[in-house]
Amino acid sequence: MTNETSSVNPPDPRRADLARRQAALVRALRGDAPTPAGFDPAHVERAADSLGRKRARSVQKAWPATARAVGDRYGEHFAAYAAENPLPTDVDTDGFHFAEWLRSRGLAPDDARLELAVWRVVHGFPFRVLFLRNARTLALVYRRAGAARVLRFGRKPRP
Amino acid sequence: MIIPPIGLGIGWRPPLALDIDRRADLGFVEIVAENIDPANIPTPLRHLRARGVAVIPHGVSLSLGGAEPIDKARVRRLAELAREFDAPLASEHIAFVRAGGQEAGHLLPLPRTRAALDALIDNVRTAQDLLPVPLALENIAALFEWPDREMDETEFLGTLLDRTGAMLLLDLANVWANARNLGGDPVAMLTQMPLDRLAYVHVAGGEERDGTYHDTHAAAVPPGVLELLSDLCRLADPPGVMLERDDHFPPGPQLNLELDAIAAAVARGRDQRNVQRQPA
Repeated sequence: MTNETSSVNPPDPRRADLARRQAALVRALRGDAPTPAGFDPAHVERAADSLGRKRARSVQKAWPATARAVGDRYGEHFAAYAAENPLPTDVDTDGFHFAEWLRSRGLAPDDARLELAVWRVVHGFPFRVLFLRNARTLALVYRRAGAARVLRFGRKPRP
Repeated sequence: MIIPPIGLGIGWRPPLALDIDRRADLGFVEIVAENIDPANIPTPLRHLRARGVAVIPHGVSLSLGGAEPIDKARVRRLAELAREFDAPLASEHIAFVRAGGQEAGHLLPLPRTRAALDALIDNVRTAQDLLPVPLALENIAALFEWPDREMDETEFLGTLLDRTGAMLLLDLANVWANARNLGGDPVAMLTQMPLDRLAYVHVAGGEERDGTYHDTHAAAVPPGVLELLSDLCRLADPPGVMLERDDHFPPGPQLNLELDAIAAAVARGRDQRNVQRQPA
């Protein structure tokens, strides 16, 4: 989406002040800055907490295999990721950054790596090969008609 | 401006598509504009439209209350959906969602100052110029308030609607949640709202956590919100009332009970209004 905006009015000091105060509030809600003066810190904190939960829940829904694969540690990992990474404009990209964050730290189980490969194949280079360690199989992920397909080679996972 | 009656509605979400399709008495559905591609409309939505169900595009990312001018591309998407569905109106929130180049990830409340009101009105007018249909603006749930208030919420809202000609999308769950979390009497607040500009109404459920009520749209509508809906329908005749459910989707029969409870709450309030109107 382009960033085309309406024409800028002559500078209005009150508008500039509003912009500054809104930006300071967003930073506080992200945990990057203290609560701006005049706000109830307990109220801003509960709002920040609620935003964090909402973000984690949204990514959990958008990237279900990754969230399931990480299991009980999802909340902990996501909180660590979110503290380092600002919120992108959409939840799918947030999930992609999170999956990439897990992979780069060696924290991504097979299903998470597979979901990441599927995303990359849909949005980038049209095929990818990866080794699924637990299942001891090779997976070919490729794009056909805009969707990713997965072919597995090698030993079947033990029941 | 008079909005024709649109009746009972629900927020259309893909996991609910089948249950929504089976419900014959729906007058309208609301779609989240950011989640529906105008070039690739889901078939179930086309079916609903073909059988006469109105479709209202609802934006969540315009950031109308932001100090910065809004992104016209986002408005054009809303406009395109409104045209695609021949919508009676489109809607957005009285909120900002980004500032200083950062996304907040949620609808944030505005300071109730002249400066914030002027910025909001400029953005609403920009949006209205690009939209082929009337715009309705929604009150949000807030977990905190801004300091330095120059007016109360109803005055802010009244001035906004007067100066822009926009309609009101009244979220009753938000009125109820704000009264619980920040204080105030929700019924008294309703009586001060510009109800003559009512386009439609949102109701939803949430959850109580550590003494705070969160409007999650992930649970059944609480009795307090249904009561408030009856109170509203005693005071006014909203053209449409709809359920918002975004997570932990219930099975079909339960969803139907939720919609039935909303219709019953509307009927209860309407009956009381009619009794009040009878001459003694």
